[in-house]
Amino acid sequence: MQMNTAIDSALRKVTDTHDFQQRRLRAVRTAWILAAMAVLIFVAFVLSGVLAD
Amino acid sequence: MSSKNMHDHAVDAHEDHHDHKPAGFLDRWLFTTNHKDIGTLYLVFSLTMFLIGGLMAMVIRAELFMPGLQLVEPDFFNQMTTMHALVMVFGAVMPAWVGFANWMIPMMIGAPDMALPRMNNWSFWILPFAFVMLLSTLFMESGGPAAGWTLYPPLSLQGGQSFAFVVFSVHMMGISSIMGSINVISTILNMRAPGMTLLRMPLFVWTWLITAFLLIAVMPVLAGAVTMLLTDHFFGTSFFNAAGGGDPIMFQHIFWFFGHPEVYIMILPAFGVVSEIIPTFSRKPLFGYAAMVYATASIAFLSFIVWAHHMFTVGMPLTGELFFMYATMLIAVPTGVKVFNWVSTMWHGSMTFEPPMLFAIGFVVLFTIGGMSGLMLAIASVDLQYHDTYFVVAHFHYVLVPGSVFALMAGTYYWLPKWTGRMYSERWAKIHFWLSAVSVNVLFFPQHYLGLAGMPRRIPDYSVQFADFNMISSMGGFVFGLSQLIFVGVIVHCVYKSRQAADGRVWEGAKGLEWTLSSPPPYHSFNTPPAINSSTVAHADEYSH
Repeated sequence: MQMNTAIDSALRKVTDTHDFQQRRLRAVRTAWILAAMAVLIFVAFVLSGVLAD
Repeated sequence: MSSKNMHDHAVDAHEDHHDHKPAGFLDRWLFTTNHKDIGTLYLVFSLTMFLIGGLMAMVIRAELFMPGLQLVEPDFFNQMTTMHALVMVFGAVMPAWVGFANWMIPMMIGAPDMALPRMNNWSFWILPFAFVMLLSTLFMESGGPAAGWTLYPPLSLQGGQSFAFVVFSVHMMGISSIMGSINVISTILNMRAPGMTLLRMPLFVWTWLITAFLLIAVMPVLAGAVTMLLTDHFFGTSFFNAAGGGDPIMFQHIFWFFGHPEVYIMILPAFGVVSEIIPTFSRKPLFGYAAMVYATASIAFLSFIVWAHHMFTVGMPLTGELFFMYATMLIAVPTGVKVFNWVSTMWHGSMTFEPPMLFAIGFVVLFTIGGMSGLMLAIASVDLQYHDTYFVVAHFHYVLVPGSVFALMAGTYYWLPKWTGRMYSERWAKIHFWLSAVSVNVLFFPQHYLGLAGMPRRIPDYSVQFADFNMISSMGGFVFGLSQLIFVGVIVHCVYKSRQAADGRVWEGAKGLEWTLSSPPPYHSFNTPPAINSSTVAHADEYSH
């Protein structure tokens, strides 16, 4: 627990508002991956309907 | 106010007066990128939709008050049942949970805002247009959709030109939901404060993370299904048209592949809210935190492999029926874990019964009744009797009304003082609870008997032997509907009239980062990451790796 608190404390020191901007950039990448998943599922289901038709 | 903490030590270091809050009304609400403002927009929108959908329910119950046709034409009655469901599912419950997610997730994980604030604005402002489009079909020559919210072909394809508006509005709702979910996942995975490990996250955040994955997986499936309906209706394709070589049963499979996870999309965040409230008012940590997380994930996984229990009567191989029956029954295991853990949390706790706790306990008891009737419906051989009767209506209303809706009310009463900085009238909130809890049972419990006696759903008229239970049900419905006006009154009074200021930590037993902020919280929640330790987070010591 003590060690964990030390890690937390160290992390807090390097995590300022600027780091939140870095996190937002990572979040944009996550968002594109998730959006691609959604589009793929949509296309797959319509395509499966076309092929089954 | 018994549990208001008079010795509040809320950390208010983040409150400054340079919060860049837009001054103008349009700038503040139309162009907002702030998670709290967008959360408020979602909640106001969903409350409006709740009242519109509720009015439709009143029309339905008024028509069913007595046998015979009383008030509306049968076709309009069918439009009411269809629209009531679409409005309540997509306009009231789902946006309400997104509103909660917007308000609470950044505050619970120690982030300043959602990860993608502009998309957040867009995902909300699509919704009013989608629902204006959907509701406008009621005023069109061909009327609104009348085939039930499941939009089964061939019935749904027999509608008029307004069907295109319905499909487009469903597309828009889906896009909104997907964008909201992407935002939630991106926020939770990337914006947590240092030290806020996954297994330290509040249960509400966990349930929303899993819900968001469900949404991304199934909303495109619904979009695909309604797109195929659209082309069948207007462009001469035959995906579901038997005359052209298509298969209407395929639509049912695709729809319920979306539809069953959709049920869990509406209930998993409710599990999260209840898992926040019960420990607070039991003054004990949540029993079996990790088990709750794994149970939520298990329910989400199982929700993908049970869809055909909605369509046992279409005829399928015996092995198929057995698979879907047993898979459905399996869901009772993780759900039972949850109910057990909530009860165990209350066990030997120093319980008090403020309005959020009353609604949470109401949720646990009444949702379990809905779960039990769900188990009855899961039995394939018995479902042949129950299918398309009022027993099904009673079942899913028990899950959704004293389930999802009670949890929404519990969450509202729990966090409203945090959101507004003012305390609401607990007396009126308790009156709201007791009226709702009694009337919701008067409304829905008799419907079990109606279904067992053979009354079919989605009909405006019925045989006289069903008259008594329908009359009782309708009276319960009117009281339940009217008692929701108290809910609106309590909120409006709290926002505009209440003079009783709320502390940062509104409830003495509450734990979590949101309670370390002032009430109301600063415009940007956490500009610097908060400390994550056992005094600020409920499970910091248990899962420190």
